[in-house]
Amino acid sequence: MIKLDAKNRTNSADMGYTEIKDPLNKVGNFLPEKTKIKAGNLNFYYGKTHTLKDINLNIYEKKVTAIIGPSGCGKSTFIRLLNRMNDFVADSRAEGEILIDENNIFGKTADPVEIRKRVGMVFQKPNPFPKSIFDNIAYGLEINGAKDRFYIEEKVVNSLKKSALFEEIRHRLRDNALGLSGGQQQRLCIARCIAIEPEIILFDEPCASLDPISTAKIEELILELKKDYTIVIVTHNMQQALRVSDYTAFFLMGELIEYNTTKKIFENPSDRRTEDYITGRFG
Amino acid sequence: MNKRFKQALGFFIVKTLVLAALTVLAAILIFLFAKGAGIISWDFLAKPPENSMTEGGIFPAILGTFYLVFFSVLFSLPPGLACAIYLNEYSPKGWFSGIIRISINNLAGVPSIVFGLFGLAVFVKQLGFGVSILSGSLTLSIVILPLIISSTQEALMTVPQSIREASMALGATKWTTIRRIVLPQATPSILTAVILSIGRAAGETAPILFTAAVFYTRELPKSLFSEVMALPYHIYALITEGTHPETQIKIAYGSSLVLLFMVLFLSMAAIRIRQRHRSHYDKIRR
Amino acid sequence: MYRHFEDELEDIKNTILKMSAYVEEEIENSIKALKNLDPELAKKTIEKDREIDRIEISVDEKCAEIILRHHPLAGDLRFVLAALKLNNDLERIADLAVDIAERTLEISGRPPLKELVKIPQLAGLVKLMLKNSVEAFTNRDYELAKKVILSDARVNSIRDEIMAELTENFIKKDPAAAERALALILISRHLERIGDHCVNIAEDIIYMVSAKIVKHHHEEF
Repeated sequence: MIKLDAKNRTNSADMGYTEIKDPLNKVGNFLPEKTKIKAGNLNFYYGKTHTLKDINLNIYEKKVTAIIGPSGCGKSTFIRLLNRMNDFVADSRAEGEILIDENNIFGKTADPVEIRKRVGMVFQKPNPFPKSIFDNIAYGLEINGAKDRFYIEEKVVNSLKKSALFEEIRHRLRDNALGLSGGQQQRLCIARCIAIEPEIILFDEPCASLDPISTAKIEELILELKKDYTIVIVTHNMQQALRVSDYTAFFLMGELIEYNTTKKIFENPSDRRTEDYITGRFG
Repeated sequence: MNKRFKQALGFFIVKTLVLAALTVLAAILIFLFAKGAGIISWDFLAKPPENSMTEGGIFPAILGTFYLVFFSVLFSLPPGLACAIYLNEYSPKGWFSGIIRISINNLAGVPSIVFGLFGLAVFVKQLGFGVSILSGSLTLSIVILPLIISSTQEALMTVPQSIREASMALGATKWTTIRRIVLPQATPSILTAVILSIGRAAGETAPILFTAAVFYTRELPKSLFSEVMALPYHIYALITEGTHPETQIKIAYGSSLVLLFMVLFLSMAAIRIRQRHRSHYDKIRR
Repeated sequence: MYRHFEDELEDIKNTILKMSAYVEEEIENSIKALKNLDPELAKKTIEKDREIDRIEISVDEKCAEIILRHHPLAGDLRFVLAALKLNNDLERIADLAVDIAERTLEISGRPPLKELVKIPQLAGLVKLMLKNSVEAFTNRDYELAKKVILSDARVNSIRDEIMAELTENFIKKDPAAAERALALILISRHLERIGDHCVNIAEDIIYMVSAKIVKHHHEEF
């Protein structure tokens, strides 16, 4: 299903990165960032539709990278490739490569289950399991081989603390997770994700169904998580991209139009289409 | 005709039809009670028939039906679940699963006497199980298999895709996800399927006619290879055969009432299990 | 797609253009009053400043509202930021014209010290700078804004010449003329300050057009 084309491998030197011109911060193209994920000539086909076209993009370690663009531009498809969730999409095909720490996740020896342990995902709609709050988090630990009860308990409490949920629900750990509010459910999903200690967390419009206060809490959490994780977030909300991200990529009709620091993209985008989109003059 | 009148008329028609259905149901119950309640006693339930079916009880038939239902559900549930999981989780599209689906639907439409003949040919004769609980419950299990497969499939479909994705995204394999997330969620609906199949299995006469049931045996079944009495067949036999129709008909109505309550009792047990499961899983849902 | 947001941006732009027309007129009138020692025109100039102050407040309000409501981004954001700063600089320029008019009033009852040559020349130069920077704003003209910034050196040197000349010829020689000479020195300084504000405006326009911050390091170009 996944075709790997050796000829399509690209040199890592200056891929997909627009030069940064900022007189007060003359870092230019030589930002001291470490590349964590590197998409090279990435193409995705759904049936006969070409939904991602030659994407070249470097995502930096312990930074927040926002993916913006109109609906159907391929941004969700892109992040779902990063943990191979698109494997389940029938009649689809990916070409090119995605390197995580230099290893191609489409390679012959790559195991999608292992990749998903390293690349966690938080979905658009909070999707806790219909189990207790405790079991929601313990599940991920158990399927990854944890057996010791004390270890699991400690992990559950720690990840709830990290996702700023513990204080609110400390006496309700055995209650059904579906009884939590939407925002709490989403933070539980984040706790569930960080419990298994991934290196990368993908957020697919995590606040789309939340109220402003829950949204603010999730955003605050993302900024906190940035210290330990590489984060990629798809969002429709420009203000959110501005508040949480360090880098922003703009997708349009399956193409990566522009990728730069968030400040550059929102203050002075290089491409007319980016400017039209973020200033609301699109279409 | 104005709108309000139309609405009143619509409600009236619906209510009348519901009432008609309930009346038929009530009529059956009243009829059965009126004709059969008189004969029911402790001896009737606990003793074997005596004096060429004109006296005594129906205990062997009750026990026989219970065994047949229990084993037919036991035999059909694992392959039924496996088939539904395969169809819904592993191969939702494609020509092969299409063929399986069509076959299952056709299986559901086959008249039960055909199953009886099949059971006779394969289980009784070919495999040499003889007229026995084993042959009978295997035959019944084929009868209820389509019901279990299609109900289970529907149950699996109601489990939201989003929680499957959540599990996969945590690094669970497909099988782990099915075992630990999907099946527990679908269990209440699967139990509903089991309840329906209990009723079906308990009531079928034709499939056990040649495979398990006998008109009369004083001995209680000793093993899976024993032949048994069964309530539906017992009722059938009382009405169509024998020498003392007047006394036999009373026993037949009594047996019908017992069969009805037996199905009810078995279903209640399954409903209890389902509810306990539900309260565990969706206590707070919506 | 038609958007009210565009109308609001256009409204800010038009208000600023109207304001800059008033400000140019203020400079014009204050210099004319000075040349003719015309107290009436000087008073009229001082009066007119109130109108400009009102416009300044309205532009501030419009900008605050557009930021509040629309969260402008990219080019729109840079436009609103530039408009806010332009507004401030234009108002300061009008205040300086008022200062010139006040100096004129102080000396208007007395005989002229000398034929004014370099002050009108300086005034002409800063008026051109203002005109150019407003034009650069209207046309989003990077080059013209750059020209405004570069002409500031000439303004400074003319002011220095005026100050040296007045100090040498009058203040040092004739105590009776010192007061009038000082007024003229102050006027030359006011004009030079107007030039500085024009440079500020030009810098903001460069930011608006290109997102470059050229403030305090003109050696960039």
